[in-house]
Amino acid sequence: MTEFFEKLVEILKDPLNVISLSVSGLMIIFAFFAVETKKIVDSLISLSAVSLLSVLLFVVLKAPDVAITEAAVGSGIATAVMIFALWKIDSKADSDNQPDKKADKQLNKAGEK
Amino acid sequence: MMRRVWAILVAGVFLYFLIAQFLPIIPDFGNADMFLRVSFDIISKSTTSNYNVVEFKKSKDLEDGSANVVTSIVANYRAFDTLGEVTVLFCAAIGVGILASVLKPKRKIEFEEHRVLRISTGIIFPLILLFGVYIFIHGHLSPGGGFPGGTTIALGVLLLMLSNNEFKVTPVAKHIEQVAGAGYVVIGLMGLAIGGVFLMNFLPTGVVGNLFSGGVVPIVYILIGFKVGAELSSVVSDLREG
Repeated sequence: MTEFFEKLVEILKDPLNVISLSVSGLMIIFAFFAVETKKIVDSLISLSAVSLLSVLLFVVLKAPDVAITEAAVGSGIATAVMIFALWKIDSKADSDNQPDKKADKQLNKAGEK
Repeated sequence: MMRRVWAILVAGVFLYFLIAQFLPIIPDFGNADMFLRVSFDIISKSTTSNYNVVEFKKSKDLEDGSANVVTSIVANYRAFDTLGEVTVLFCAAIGVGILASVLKPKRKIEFEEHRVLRISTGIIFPLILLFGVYIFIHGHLSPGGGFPGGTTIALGVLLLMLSNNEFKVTPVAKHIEQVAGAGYVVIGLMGLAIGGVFLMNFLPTGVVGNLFSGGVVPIVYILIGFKVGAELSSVVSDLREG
């Protein structure tokens, strides 16, 4: 027990460790938000934020290859694909086929479901 | 509510024991002795010759000439694995295309066009394209490679879609993808014909750190970059149009 706390104090002396611990804490908060929120769009955006923060952790852990891939795939194209798919699911729900609806209206509607 | 408290409690106890048990055992970051775990030959990339020190821009004719260790594993030692990965991505793209074409009420996702966004996209899109191409051409020298480079290009195409409602990915993208995927297999078959092993590195590996080094690795990564870029652009476009 005391051994553990001594190790913890020793870890917290390095500022890089403090940064990475706070980034991981923020990631946990965003992950909880993704599970607990009512709107699906909000949880998709917070998942994107989790990916973006994990990029920082990968850079700290000296894995730049994984960091570049995570930044492009995890927080970029995956979020876009999921949000497009969410709008598609919503557009199937309402029967009127209005092409002139605005995107932010779609966003609000998809979120309420 | 009670269930949530129990879940947090159980997770906390589990995490505490995990950290208290394993944190003292793990060595400090960067201080693990890699030579006890991985062969010296693989780290120094000199398995064909005797134990020579590899010097940047000087050593030549190594077994694998790429300066980036991750790339030399992904595109040289485990190139067959990467072929399977590319095939998985291809199957996913086909699935998205079929699903998007089957959806009955066809409604294109439209965005409110904005003049500032459209003009600034016209300025920044060539730079994004250039950066993606840089990532996959220099995949054997610096961090990166075919997959992130192609995804960066697809993100540029996504930006074009967000800014301009008339923009459309033409079927040319699908043809590029087919040609690139077939080219990867053709390079593998050339390795089979010349060296006797599928996807063998049959070109001279050159001097470590030069652009023309690493043998077949840059060619494979350029093909993968084109394939992934075209594939993901058409996935996003299918989802938007269908």
